[in-house]
Amino acid sequence: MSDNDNRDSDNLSGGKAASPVAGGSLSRQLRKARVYESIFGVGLQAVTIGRFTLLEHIGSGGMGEVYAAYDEHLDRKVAIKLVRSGLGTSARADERLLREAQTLAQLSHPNVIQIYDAGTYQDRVFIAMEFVRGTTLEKWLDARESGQVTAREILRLFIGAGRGLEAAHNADLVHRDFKPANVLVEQDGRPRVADFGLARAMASAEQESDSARDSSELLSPLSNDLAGQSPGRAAAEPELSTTADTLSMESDLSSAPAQALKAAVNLTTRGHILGTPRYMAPEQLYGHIADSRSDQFSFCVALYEALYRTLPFVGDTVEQLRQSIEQSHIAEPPRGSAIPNTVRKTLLRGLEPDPERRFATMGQLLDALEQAMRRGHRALWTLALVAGVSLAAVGALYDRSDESTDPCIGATWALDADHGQPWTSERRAAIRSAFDHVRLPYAAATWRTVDSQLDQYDRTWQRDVVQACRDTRVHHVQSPGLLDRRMICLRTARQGFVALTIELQKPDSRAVERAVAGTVDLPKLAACSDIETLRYGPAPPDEEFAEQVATIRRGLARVRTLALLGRFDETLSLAREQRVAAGKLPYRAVYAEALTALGRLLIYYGNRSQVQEGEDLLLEARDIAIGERHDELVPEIWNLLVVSAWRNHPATDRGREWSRQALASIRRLRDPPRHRIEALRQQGLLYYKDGRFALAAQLQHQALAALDSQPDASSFIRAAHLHDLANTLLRLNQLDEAHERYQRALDLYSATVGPDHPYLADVCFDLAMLYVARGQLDEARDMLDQVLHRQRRQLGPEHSVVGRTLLELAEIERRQGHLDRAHQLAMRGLQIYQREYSKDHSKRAFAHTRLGAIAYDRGDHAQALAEYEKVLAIERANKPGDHIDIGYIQANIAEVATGLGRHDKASASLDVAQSILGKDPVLMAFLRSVRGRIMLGQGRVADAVNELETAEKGFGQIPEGSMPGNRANLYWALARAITARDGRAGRRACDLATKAVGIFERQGPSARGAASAVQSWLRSSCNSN
Amino acid sequence: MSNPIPVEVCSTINDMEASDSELFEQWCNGDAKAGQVLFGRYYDVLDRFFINKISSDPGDLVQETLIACVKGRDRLQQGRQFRSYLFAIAYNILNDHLRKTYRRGEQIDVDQISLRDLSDSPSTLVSRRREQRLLLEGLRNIPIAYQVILELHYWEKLAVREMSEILDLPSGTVKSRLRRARELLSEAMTRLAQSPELLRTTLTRLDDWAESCRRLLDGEEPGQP
Repeated sequence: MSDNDNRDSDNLSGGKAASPVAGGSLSRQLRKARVYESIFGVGLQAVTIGRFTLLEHIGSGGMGEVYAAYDEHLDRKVAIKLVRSGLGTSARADERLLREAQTLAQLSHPNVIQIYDAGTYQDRVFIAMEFVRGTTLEKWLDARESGQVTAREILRLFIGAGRGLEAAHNADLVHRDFKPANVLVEQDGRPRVADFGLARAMASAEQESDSARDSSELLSPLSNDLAGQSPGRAAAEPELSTTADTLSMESDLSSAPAQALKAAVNLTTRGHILGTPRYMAPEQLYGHIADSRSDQFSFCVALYEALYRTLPFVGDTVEQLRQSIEQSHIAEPPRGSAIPNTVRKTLLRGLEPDPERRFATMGQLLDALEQAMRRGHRALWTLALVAGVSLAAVGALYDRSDESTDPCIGATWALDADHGQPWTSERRAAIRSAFDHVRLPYAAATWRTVDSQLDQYDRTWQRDVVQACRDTRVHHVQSPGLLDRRMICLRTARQGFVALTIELQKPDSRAVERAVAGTVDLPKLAACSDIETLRYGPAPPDEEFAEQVATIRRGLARVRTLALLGRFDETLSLAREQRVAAGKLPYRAVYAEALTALGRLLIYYGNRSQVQEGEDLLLEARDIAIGERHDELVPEIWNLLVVSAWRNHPATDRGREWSRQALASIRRLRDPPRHRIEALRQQGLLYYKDGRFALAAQLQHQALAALDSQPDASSFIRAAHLHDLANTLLRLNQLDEAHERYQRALDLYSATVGPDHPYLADVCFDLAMLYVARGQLDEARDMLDQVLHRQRRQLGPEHSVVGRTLLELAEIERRQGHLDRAHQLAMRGLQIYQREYSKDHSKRAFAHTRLGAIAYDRGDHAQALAEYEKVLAIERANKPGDHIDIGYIQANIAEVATGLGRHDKASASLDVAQSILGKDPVLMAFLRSVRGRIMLGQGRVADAVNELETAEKGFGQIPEGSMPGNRANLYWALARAITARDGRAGRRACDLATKAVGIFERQGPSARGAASAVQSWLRSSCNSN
Repeated sequence: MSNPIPVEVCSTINDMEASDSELFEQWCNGDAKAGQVLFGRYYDVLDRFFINKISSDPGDLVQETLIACVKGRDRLQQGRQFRSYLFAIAYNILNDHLRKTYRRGEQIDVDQISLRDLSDSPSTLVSRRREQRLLLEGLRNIPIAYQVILELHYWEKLAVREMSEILDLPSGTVKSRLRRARELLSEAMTRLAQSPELLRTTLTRLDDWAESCRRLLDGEEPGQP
């Protein structure tokens, strides 16, 4: 690290008084670490306070700074307030604050923000507390529109907060600065009181440290900052405005810092007021000791203001305020106020200037309010009861909008009612800590992407729910029936989200590895806004089955999530159960869904027979889905069938037919990108697997273009598409184009899952293949070495993927003539495959193919033949007899058998190879050359010359440098054949042999034997000429 | 062939000795270690440059600046100081950011508009001392171009020649702007401060206060002026 960083940390640990600047060096350190990591891909050291690792700076206020932090012991996210100390002489006040915070930590109440710990950090007090998502009561109240929010709801929130105060009072703690800005309203609507005792501790600190100064520092809460806002919006109110807020009764002052400054600078009040004057009890305004009854007074001011939208006491200065309170000069309620008189009377008692005349305890006040609420005439409360309880969601959904009158605000809440909010601060913290637990090098980067994608998904879902509701209930443009369909769709989509957030809480490295894919695969919400498709789709289930259908769909969502996160085995039985349950219902649409889910599972993860079962299930699902007009499901099924085709039988007409059907069923829905992109991708892969690379590339280009027109498409998906396309371009020999795509895929993966993720190793692997194709064998080997290193570290030395890399490295070493090393690598690869794959698995055949080629190069034709025979045995069990791979292997067998002089065997294999590969002119030329060599071996000299001459013409059609070994073998065989026919080595034969030597020599060590054989022939046969 | 997998770079850079431009060149040639040293040298400076001018997270703009810096490496002319090059980019990025953030579609003229006109609160600045507060607030009340010139002068201690490179203005103009900036600042502070005493102590000791504000922005303990 550079000297600058040292300077920073010196500053932090030098024992100086802490930073007076909120957002000072600590928050800068956090930003710095974040920027460092995103530029260099590696982290700086974490910033910690005690056992807490700081995550981000959330906000600042007069009291200090608030950070989000991670608590290693308790494994959760917390908020940390780093309290601004006085200027270093306030040890006593700090001690008191600390003591009080520690007392408060003993208190657990649902309406009090939980304190976990308190301590000092470089002479400043820090308090670690629960991290709460939501808004402050102040903002919540601001967000309502006149007359429409129910008094009942306001009372419910205040009584909740009051119960929190009461609990603290029972523990002998006084808040001293109760006001709406110090109450948080959680996303589920629960009010929580924050910042107990901070007021006094802070003010005393000032008093003690700086009595000479004309201290205008009043206390401002940090609650605003605590209300977990997103970092971008976290800009706290600057102290300037909160200071003004404490003094001025003009509510608009806080948004005008210039005036605020003026107010602050102008302040003439001497003495120290602990708290916010407008909510303060008179005894506090006089600087006397505050007790629980002072909190009661503040509580009543705040509640009064919330209910009547005006403060009970007014005054431009503290002095005027005092007078107003003493005279109990409380304004008359506005005419027509709906607030029951009993409530008002109760409040007025809490607002008595003399503490003795208020209620003895908060509890009594709250009981009185509750009673008043119950007694209040129902009609008086009604103005806007439409929103009812669901108003609790207002803070989470809308900031200061005028939409609090909206009957749809509670809609999301209702849909989440049966499983609880899936995306709360607790859930988020739990997922994060699960990610931390697995200790994968890419967990942090993955977490960032997962976090933001889940967050975005959640917000989109909430927006869509409200939008769906409004279309019917506010805009009246949609029938209730259609609303029902949209809500069922959104509810079903939500199940996927719920399942994913639940699963991600469990520390599981497979889940972390696949987490981003999991978020990308969440149900597409666009489907629930596709009105036409929904309208003509299957009707909702009858009331009597609705719950069962919902339960099955919940199970299906879990199936999909678990499978994606890599847990096939446990998922299979769950999927089968859903199928059975769905089969019993008369609601066929959900049966089709269950069949699809099971089919998907089997074709992706099943063994050979399971894949066949999966395909059959999908075909059945397709028939039902079409019959039920389940138009949203139909394209999905076709796409899955295409997947099954490219995985299992890419060359058949069925696969191509299915992919056409897929596109047709998507056009029926007017080509929504959510289906179209997927269909293009799978069809591209089908053609790729079938060896039709030009067509594949065309489709993959289209898919990418479609993806580019989707602004919110995930970079992760784009990376996957680029990788596909690059592979195709590589096969098309468009190497530079392919290279560019590989690089982009790497960049995008790096940005979404971090540079250490196995996905990147996959891309690098293919990139190495590109280097091989370019003949840059050294580069290819270096890259594969790196890939190997990473894979061993990430996946363990015995992972099947490591086996594949070893085998490709072996191939490169073989081509470079390092046959011993090639053999070692290939053997290690084979050993892994033997452990990882069953005896008849194609992967094992692949390993033997590599070993066969190495043995052939070593001149050990018998060993090569043995390896190829193994390959053939395996592939025959896996592939149809006319599969292209069978053709290749038979061709290889023919070649080595020729070398061994086993001409009959060679000839038989060659017949098979020719029947499969004969259509390709290049391959045909090669096969003819082998045939010619067999004939030569059999002594059919004239036939051999004929066959080899034809082969040579064939080779003339393909570029000079390609297939050099085969070409040299051909020349050499032709030279001998002509010589045998003519009885002497003529000029042509000698020329051919010379060309063969040249090629063999250029091929390096692996062709050394062949080269010297031809050379000695040349010496003996051609010198005489 | 750039290597997509970050590899351990065995660097021989000596943090203390390599010049900014040397480090920068090495960074541009793929040596991450050199970039990291440079990052250490300039992160705080850039963070400070942005923090008093925007309401969002300065880290993002710092990142953007550093990346733009590497991308535009060809624009770093021979003989030109890396620091001026860096600040020039930072200044452009700031202007772009303000344009994007505050007046969608409309042109903003940094010579005319002050941050106070654009945003109602900068991100995280809270100052305890009224004098500091007054100065910081004053700075935000003068046109951005003038605010930048004052901060570069007082906080970064840049020479006129460097400022002229950064702002792309002739030296003479820089000097006259600096003069004008002081005037505007004092006017702004006079408007803001109601106490003549406060104004007097702040204005007459502008250098000291500027220095203490810089340290304040760095999160250091402000010295007693």
